Amino acid sequence: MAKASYYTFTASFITLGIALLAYLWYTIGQRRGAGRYGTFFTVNGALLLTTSLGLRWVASGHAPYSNQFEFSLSFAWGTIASYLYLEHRFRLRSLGFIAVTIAFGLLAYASTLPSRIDPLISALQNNAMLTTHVAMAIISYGTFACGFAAGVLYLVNRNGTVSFLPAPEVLDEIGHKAVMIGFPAQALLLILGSLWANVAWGAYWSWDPKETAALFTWLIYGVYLHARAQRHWRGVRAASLLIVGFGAVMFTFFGNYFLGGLHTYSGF
Amino acid sequence: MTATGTLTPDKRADTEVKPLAPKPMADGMAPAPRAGTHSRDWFDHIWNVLVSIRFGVVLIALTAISVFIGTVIMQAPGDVQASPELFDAWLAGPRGRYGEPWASIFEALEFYRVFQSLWFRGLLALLSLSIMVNVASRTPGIIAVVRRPPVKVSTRFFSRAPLQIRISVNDQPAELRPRLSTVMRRRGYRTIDWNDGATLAIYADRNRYGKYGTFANHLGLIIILGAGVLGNVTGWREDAFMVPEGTTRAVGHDTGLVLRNEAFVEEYFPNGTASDFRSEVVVLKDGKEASRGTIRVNEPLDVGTVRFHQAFFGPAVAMRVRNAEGAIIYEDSTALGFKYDGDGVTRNGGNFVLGNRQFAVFVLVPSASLQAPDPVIPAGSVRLEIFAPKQPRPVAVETLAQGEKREIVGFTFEFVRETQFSGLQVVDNPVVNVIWIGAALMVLGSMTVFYLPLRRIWARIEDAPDGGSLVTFASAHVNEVLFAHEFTDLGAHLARQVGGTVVASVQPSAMGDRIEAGM
Ligand code: HEM
Repeated sequence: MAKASYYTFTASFITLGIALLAYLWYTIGQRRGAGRYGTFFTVNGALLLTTSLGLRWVASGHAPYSNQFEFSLSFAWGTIASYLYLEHRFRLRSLGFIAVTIAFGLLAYASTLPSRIDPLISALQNNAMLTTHVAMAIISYGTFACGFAAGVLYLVNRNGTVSFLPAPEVLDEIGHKAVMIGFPAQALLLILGSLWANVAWGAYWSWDPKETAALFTWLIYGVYLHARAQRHWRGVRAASLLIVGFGAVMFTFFGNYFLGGLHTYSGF
Repeated sequence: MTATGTLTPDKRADTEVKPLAPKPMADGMAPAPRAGTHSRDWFDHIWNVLVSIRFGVVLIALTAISVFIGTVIMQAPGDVQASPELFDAWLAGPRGRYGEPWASIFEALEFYRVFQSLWFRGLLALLSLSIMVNVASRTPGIIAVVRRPPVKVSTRFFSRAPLQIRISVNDQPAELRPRLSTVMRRRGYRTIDWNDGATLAIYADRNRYGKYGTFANHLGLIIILGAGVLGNVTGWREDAFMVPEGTTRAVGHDTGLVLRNEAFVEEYFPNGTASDFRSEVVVLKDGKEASRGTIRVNEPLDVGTVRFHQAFFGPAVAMRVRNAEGAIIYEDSTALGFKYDGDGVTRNGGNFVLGNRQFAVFVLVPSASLQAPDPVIPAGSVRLEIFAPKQPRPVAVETLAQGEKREIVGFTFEFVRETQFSGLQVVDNPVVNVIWIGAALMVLGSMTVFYLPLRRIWARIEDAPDGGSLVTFASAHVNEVLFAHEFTDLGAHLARQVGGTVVASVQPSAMGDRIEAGM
């Protein structure tokens, strides 16, 4: 089963690579027909990745969050799922090439990591709270990745002069919508994390580096929401915050490499 | 803007609704400063800064930056912060890492203990104050928005609004109005009839109570911050409550609680990492059994507001000591929960006190993790170092094998057996549940605001020149592509339900992908 999971992971990796080319052709190459292929391959890539994660879940007996390999796959899945949702809601595909690049990059990174299934240390053993905790991380990081894509395109097309990109107001709204999903999800991520820490470690908040990194990310999006409430902050400044915010997400995600603390076991 | 049919929105169109009713105070707007005495001016000035969302943004940004600093700069652990000597020794680490002058600057700014620093706490206090003042000042405006909707708009609004749909229906306006209202109510809108001069009109809105979510959201935040402070003041925690197997220890802190460790169990994966460890315990309150259960890493035991967590474990030794008359004066186990270095190896140690503080006895065993045998203490033996009061050196040092008895300083010491202790964390945070309530309010509040946005639509029902009615729906939500879609769908739905047809619509041109639209 673990083997099958790895094969579907590889298949999804390749499928998303094709989707990426299609989206590039669509947006940069301005080829209208390529968009449908982008969507088709992305949907299939997402289904393959879902299968891969599902198989791994069954094989290991716990949700895919026990190491960096599993979490990279989940993060990629969240990015694609959020992207497909936004593509559907806003009826546009121009964000595709950035969102799929992020997901593709995460899978490429995952392919360099050991994919073995480890037994969980007792602090992490199967736990509904931890499963939802990680699900919230996937939703928030995935939507923030899409917010990042909208922010980048906004900066490129801030004057509305790049005719093949969506209008700046639309990109601004997509970014906002993404944060409206990601911000409460990340609040839940922090809350469920502290509920669980309260049970496991007897302290709901320890100012552990991984906790504070996630809090930092959340606060940046807090700045975004409040700054954007002022009309003149919409646009370039809001878009820049979307990019900084996603930088903080990546910082938290790769934080295992340089931050110590209680969460270090979840990486390696 | 693109227009189909005959509708053309005014290029200078106001994007704001201009209600005819008195305009409610806009959200987030501070009341105008009142003229008054000098101190009054000062008060108003400070108030105006505090309520402003711009100041709020600055505070949130400063908090974010502080949290970032506390994340990337080494933070001194709690026990290190508690002792000036330990802290001084600990500083060697950051000094080596950051170099001068940074290390000293960071120290002066308390960057090694950001989250315990006064300035960080002050920042959080200011943030709370700003939230409270801002929400208080917005309250009348928000209540007005909900309670006193701008039912009437000017006739011009119907030709200038950024979103417009016109449908033509065969019914007469008087018949049509209740029918339209019914359909809109089924779509979740509440409707209010009004007349624009002689023309019939409808005001409709949905999710008006969603606006109140912002109270729950920000109140939740204040509760979390407040309960955090309260928990620090009213609660306590014991990070290393060590109870050897088969023994009883008092919890202290005026709880009247006593914990008995009936058994301790550890299990391992084949590769040697711990898979499970647990303690079977009984907790007595004032001598009576209050609770009994198994404590595991993720399964603490609650006794009232006191919570016992399994945190660690280690070796313990059971000892018996008799006096010269042969009476037992000590029979208990000692948790060897501390590490000591000596003779080039690491040992586990603990201590107990004999008689009326006559002697302090240090008990040492070789650490289980040693690669090579301890040169002084054979495996399975204990070393006793016996100290008399005020003497820097032990008065006796002896090594005992298991089961061995030996007379030392006038007492008979017996090493009964080696056991294990269970290291528990004991926490009493009476307000932790308040935090969860605050957290729930915060998340549900923000979700209410985000997912139940206030929507307003006005409809004007005119007599059509050739009989029947012409209905114009207008709305002013700008920069809302998704609402524009919803508005279009609603218009088509309404037309279908009342047997009419859409004859014209105005929408922002920015919807959808411009590549799809053929640019
Ligand atoms: C870390 C602290 C804060 C968090 C997490 C937070 C959270 C939020 C969230 C999620 C929203 C959007 C939903 C809603 O309207 O309730 C919001 C809106 C708002 N917050 Fe905060 N808030 C914080 C601090 C503040 C402060 C310090 C102020 C004021 C000085 C403030 C003033 C406002 C205002 C005026 C709005 C409405 C903005 C609009 O009209 O779009 N908030 N806040």
